[in-house]
Amino acid sequence: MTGALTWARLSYRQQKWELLLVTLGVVGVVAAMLYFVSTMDGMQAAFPECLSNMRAQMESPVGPPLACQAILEEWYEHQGWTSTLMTAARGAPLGLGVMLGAPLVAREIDGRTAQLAWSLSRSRIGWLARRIAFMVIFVLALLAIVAMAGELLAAAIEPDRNLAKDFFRFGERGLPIVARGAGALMLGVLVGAMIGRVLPAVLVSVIVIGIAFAGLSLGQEAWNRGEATIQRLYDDAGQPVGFDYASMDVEFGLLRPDGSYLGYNEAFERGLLPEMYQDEQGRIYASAADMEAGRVFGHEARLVIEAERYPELVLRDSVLWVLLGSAALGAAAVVVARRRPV
Amino acid sequence: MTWARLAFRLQRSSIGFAALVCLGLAALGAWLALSLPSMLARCDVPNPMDQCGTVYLFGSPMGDPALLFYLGIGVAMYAVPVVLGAPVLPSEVERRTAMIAWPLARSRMKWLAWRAGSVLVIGVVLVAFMALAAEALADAQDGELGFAHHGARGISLVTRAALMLVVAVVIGAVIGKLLPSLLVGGALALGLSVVLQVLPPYGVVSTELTAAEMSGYPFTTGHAYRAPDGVPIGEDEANEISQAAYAEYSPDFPPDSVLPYSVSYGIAGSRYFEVLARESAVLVGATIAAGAAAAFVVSRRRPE
Repeated sequence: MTGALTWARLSYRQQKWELLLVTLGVVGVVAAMLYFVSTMDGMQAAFPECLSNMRAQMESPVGPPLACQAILEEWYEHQGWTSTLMTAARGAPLGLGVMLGAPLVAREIDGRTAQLAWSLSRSRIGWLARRIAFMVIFVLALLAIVAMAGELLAAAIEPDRNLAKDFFRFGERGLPIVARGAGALMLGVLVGAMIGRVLPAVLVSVIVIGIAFAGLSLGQEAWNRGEATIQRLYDDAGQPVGFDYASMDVEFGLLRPDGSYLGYNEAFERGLLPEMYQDEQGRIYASAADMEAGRVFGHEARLVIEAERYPELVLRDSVLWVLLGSAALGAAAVVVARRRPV
Repeated sequence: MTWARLAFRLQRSSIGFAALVCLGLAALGAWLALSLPSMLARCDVPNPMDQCGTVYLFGSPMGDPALLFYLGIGVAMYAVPVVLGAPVLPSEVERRTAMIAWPLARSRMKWLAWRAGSVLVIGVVLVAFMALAAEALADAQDGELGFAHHGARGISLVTRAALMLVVAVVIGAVIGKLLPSLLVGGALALGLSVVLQVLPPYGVVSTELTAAEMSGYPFTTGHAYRAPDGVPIGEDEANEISQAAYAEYSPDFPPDSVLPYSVSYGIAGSRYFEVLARESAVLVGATIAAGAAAAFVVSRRRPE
């Protein structure tokens, strides 16, 4: 236990300023999130006639009551700020990976202390494990706080929705934040171990972690596309189908008369829909003449992942990032074991 | 040239990163600017702002690449200066080479002049490539630009980046450690971007904008409402009049003559260069002041 505390103290001292500044940043973001949670919950409690079931009010023919205009304007202003905070929550794991992961090994090599540190330790792998352990605990603890604050804030923004089965602000609340942080941290450590210089490692890890994030996002988008179901926006009688806001939108497009789905992007790229006309029943026509003749090109539809699958996709995203992080950690161990300490 | 070569060798990684980002974005912007006329020709429309059917369905004729370009510009214009400016002093202090470098340069001011000056010139040149590409893209979208993309193209982008770079040098000089300087620099970049959104129009007087001026990318400073007879009224009164009119004419829409209307105040797009000149003077002045602060810090701080 004493040995573990010594290592933790040493790890803290070596990255004291980064840890303090990062903690300050996280505290600031979380404090702001909790402020808006409190404010928006208070507004909900004080003005239920204006703020309950807002979507239905907006979609009604008469709109919200005139007396609610000022309340709604204030609510939407708060929503603007919360959107910024949720975006910060999405970026926090990547930022922590860059700032705390990349210098972990790079600083030792850059500062010419790796030779001594690796000699004093029984094995380089043991040294790496002890150095990383403190940082992993620290980062995961910080991100867990951000994740929980994100959940509270999302619930305050959309109090009428069951967010346990809702893709609202996916990736900006809950488990994915923590898992992505773990993966990004390990990627940063790997980059730092390979490059061995602090500033270049930080800069390259920005690119590497960014590419990893983009790659996993695009990969999961393609995966989602393969598993998505088609949801029509209007039924056969031309009546609007209740829009399921909780589902994840994969793509908007058309349900063709033959039952096949055609995305808008594909329709435009292939020149299948040079013009687009739509009637009030959601039927799409390729020209004014087709509209007059009743030659329907398709019905408005979208590809979605149902809201019930939210826990499954959260787990999938988290597992992918943890696997990526584990692979990066393994690679970092190999690099540290084999590289020269200068 | 010796000093410039030395400055490059001392900051190879950050200059390489800045060059990659700036030149990459410049290339993307140039490709978009060159591609736009042919894309719009497919719509057989001469003016980019005319409706082009499905090409404009999602708000941009170029979709994701254009959005990514402007997002990239918005981040790079602050990130690149921070990455270039923040390590100038910490890299010397942390490696304990300041104790040698400062005496060798005869004076700390001379050392700072070539060290930070070289980085500033390199940074401004790289950002200028980005700024030119952004200007070309904006010009290709619409000839009469007014205040469109102000701060993310041309001179306005370069002056912001130059100020951020010198401020980053000051931060690095004060803190003396590389990673904390980058973190604080990033936070200050966020603050500076907010401040620069609020400062315009730098004392230029706003006027009521005409309909023609509204379509020419003006800088709006406020809105007001007028009753159907032209009398100025408040927002609440305007809402009451509108709701009463809609209720009276329901289910039909009421005619425009019985509805209140909004007017906008601001600076017409034709006066863009007036605001740009004032802004450039303010930002250059702030940059010089930041440079003086950097010189003050460097002259007084311990070299370790």
